[in-house]
Amino acid sequence: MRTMSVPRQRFRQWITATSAAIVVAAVLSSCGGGSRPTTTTVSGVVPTPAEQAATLAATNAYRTQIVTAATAFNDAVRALHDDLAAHNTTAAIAEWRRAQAAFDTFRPELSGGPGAWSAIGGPVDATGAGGGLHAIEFGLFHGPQSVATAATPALVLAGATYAIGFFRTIVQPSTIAAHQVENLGYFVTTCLGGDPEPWSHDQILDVGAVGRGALAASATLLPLARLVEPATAVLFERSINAFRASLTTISARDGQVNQDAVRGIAAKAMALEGVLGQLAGAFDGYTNGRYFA
Amino acid sequence: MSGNQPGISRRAVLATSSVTLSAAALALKAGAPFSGTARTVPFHGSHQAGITTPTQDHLVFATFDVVGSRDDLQGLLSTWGTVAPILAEGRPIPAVWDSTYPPSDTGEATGLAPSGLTLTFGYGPSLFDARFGLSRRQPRVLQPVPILPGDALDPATSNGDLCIQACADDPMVAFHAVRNLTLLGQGTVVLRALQVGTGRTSTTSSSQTTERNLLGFKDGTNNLTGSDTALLKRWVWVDSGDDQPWMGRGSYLVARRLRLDLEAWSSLPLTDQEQVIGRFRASGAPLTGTTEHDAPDLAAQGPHGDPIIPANSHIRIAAPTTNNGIHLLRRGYNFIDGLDPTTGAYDAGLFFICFQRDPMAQFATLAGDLARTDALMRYVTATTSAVFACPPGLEKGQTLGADLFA
Repeated sequence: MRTMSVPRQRFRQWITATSAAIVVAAVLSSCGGGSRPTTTTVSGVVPTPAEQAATLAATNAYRTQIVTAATAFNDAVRALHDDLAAHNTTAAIAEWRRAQAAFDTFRPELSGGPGAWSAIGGPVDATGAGGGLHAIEFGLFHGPQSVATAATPALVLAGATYAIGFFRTIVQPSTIAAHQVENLGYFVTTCLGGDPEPWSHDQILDVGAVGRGALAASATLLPLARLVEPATAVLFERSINAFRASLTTISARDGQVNQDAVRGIAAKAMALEGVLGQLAGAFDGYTNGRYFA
Repeated sequence: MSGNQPGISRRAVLATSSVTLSAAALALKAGAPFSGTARTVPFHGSHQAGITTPTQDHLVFATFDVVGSRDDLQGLLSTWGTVAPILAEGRPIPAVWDSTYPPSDTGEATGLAPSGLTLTFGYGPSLFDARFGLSRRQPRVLQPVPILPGDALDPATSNGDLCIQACADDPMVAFHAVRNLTLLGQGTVVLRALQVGTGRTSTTSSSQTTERNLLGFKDGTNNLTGSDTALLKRWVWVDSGDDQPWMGRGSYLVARRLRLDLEAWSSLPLTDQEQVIGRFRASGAPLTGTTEHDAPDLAAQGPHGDPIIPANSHIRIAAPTTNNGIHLLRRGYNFIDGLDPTTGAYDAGLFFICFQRDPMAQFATLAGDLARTDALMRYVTATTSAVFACPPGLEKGQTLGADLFA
């Protein structure tokens, strides 16, 4: 039976408390506290009850997606910390993959801009310096593993800080659409066009996670789009379906991204990106009534 | 045929035949006029041309690895310093042998006007490693730029021992200059990277209008200009007492190839774009103003208490007032390198160049803040990065690199 040192016990207590805070905040965030009635859209039209319901459904679904990912991230990092302490590299790699996939889902909503993004993702450095998930990856796939071990506490803190910060974020359909525009851009230029994991070269991890995250986030907006912009919604649904279908082609038999399919996937992603941009403008002014998170 | 003349190179002939070269140059000047009336920027001067020179329309930026010896390097710098003023005058490299050999000048700029050509030379940090005995000459602040959040740098095209920044109003003139200087370096240097810039994105003169970058916004509204003498002295020109005396009146160049996610950017609603930048796209005015040169009111708040110029907007993060007054002299250019063959997305963006007195205290500090908090960085990926020490300008009769090797 393993015994824990006092610092590790404290760490576990702290991270447990942090996880509890995340759950409480998630519940609060879904209650709509601080709401005020919606006034008018940007075009001066008062939203119909159906539009208001679709707006609320979209923002709640998206918020749930992000909170679920953030919670999964923090769980994975906590497990990763234990696996590294136990020198269980196989389990640590599995948790790193789980954490990376979760991060890929909530990355577009990182409050505070690229700094918070970088604190969790971590800059890519030839020495693994800089912390974040890339330092974990460096330690696990390049070594020494001590780099990963050293980076974990800060990553836990960054994840918790992010999760708390997200509860102060007002999520609206227009911002969901705009953030997914950026996310799909990241999907194309970095996930498909680059080597986002320089030590493991696990490209399929990011392509799959970012693609699925963008797809799910976009789908939350479809009911509202049908009400607000019916003609664009037809194109939107077609683009979502085409992108979804393209994602099924990412995996070749060897578990790597099928390079022959990359350009087709990118084209579908860029098409969806363009429609989302139009909808971001159309959604402007449709709010869930919250001015303060 | 060159095969009949083993051991002879263009540079060898030029380096050992300064009298011949001068005579040939004079002959050309006297008897071979070129068409065009475009401006000529003198190569000689207290500072190198191409720093505060009003920004030309086109750029060719080349970096090199030195593969020769210390003597080869010293000789090449001397040759480059001799040939550069000839090129700046819009003249070809003089013929020093007959037509049975490859021509001294590659010829593509024949008949073209000088086009304001400037050639700016720089030394990278790696030039000061053990190879050439220059370690003790390395300026303390000449260090590679730290890796910044969001960087995806290609080590094969980043950094370099030497650089040449060629700027001209005609792209052929700029390319011709770099191509011929590279030929003169055969056997001593090899090209490491070459970037073509099309369309300046910064102004360094109050007489120039502010251009737009590929994001569609005016870029560099508050850039330093050549007439900002006091600010240039404070932020751009190295003082001989700063560190290495040979760098006095020089400046440090930082170059970053910033790929822009144009597809995502152009899909953003205009208001979102303007929030990211902190300016109106049409007028270039800050979100708190009405005309381009209105000073941004960073304290102004909207009806819900939020800053009108968002906290993570580009102009707020980059403003000297939020960065301890740090200024840079920017000379960036757009680049359009076709499509990313993998994804079909544009491979285009901004080839950012800036000059400063201390790259660590100025660029690295400012870029670190931008990388951490600037909302624009979500659409920017740095793919190459390099820093170079650009020595002071040469007066007539002086030799490029002489102070470095003294």
